[in-house]
Amino acid sequence: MSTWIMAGITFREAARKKILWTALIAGLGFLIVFGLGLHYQIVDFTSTTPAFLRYQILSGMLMIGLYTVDLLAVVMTILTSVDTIAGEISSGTIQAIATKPMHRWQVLLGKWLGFAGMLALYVAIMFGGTIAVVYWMVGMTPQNPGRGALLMFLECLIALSVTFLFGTWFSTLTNGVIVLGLQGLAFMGGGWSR
Amino acid sequence: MLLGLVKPSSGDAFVLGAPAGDIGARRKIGFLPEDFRFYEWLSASELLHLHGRLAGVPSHELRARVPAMIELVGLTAHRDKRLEDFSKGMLQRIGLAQALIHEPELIFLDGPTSGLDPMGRCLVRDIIRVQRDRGATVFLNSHLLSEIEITCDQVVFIREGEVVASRDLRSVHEEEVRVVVRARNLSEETIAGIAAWGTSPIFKDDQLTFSTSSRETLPEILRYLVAAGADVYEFTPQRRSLEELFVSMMGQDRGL
Repeated sequence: MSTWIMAGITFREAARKKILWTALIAGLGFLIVFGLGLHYQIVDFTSTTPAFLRYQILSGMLMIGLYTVDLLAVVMTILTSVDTIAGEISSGTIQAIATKPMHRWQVLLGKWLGFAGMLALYVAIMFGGTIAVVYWMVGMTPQNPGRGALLMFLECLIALSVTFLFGTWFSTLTNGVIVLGLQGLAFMGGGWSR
Repeated sequence: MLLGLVKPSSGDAFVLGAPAGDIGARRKIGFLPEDFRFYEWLSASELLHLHGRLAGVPSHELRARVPAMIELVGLTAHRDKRLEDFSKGMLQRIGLAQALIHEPELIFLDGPTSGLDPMGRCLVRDIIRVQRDRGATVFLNSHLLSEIEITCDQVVFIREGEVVASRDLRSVHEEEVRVVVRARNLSEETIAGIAAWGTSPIFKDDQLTFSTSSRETLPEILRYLVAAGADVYEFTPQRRSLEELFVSMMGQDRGL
């Protein structure tokens, strides 16, 4: 029960502190810019542009869009959760919570679930939004979109877990530096391995 | 450590019959940290509701209990205000309310009156008395010794984690009493004779100061002085304040 109370309060915190809304408005801004880019690309096509080239350009743009959403989602995961443990430890807020009749893991799991819920919403809107924009404008859909969205969500959950882990040991700033550094490494590593 | 925030490096501790930090025992404990901070984006009512729920109080009970608790700490007019707009004193009051929302048997209050105005201090004292009368045990941790003197039944002095002394504040009659006497016509023999009841007296500028082990000896000493021909203008027993006791026990300020 306490876990769900903590999850609820974490989700409400994100909504009340306008983190969620700011991220969603910024995401909406991205979708508009992405749609405009796609629109001008389509306008650029001439009647002589071969179909396979059109397909390659459009699928390339979709990939860039999803790549950007992926980056935005992971950065948002880190930025919103970097302070939740470390900040509450340094301000002493955690003292009144950790002394309540619940296990430590319930505090952490509750917060984790709250953020996970928020990220699920974010990924669903942004991933779904990007695919919807492309489908609406050119009638194209990527393969296995559900699997892609789940993988993106999983990536966010890993970033969230790592941020939580270091947040229990280090200050907000140190935690942010470590986790963003690790994200950079993972990003480059992912590129190289391909 | 007793609340489970810090793990002991060695040894055992028991609270309410359970090992320190036990979840079941924590259900019966209320705690106000020294520098109380909480999610500032919550209103006073929401904060108490959340703490009540985390402490295991059912929602339907909290519907009546939250407004009553806000009333108790004098914040009814601010119940829907967000904590970010609260003054330090108001935060202290709502912090106290969250420590009491689940009617705990054992209450730890770390500096509950710091940041409060005199009216607020009075209120906190009254609330602590209500808790005591309800049967709860209240641990009041404070450097404001005058507060402790007024509020507590027992006091324990701790230095560097070790109990230096403890005292039952209810048994004032048992304590050593310092007496200040302003008198004339006191012969040296009369002054020396006072040593029979207490410590060696000091006489300076018509003022005689000595200590005696019990208040019961006071009438006898006064009768003795008058019988010895002294003109007594003042005879004032002074209980040693906790602050004096603290200073004498802890020695000089070592910047702790």
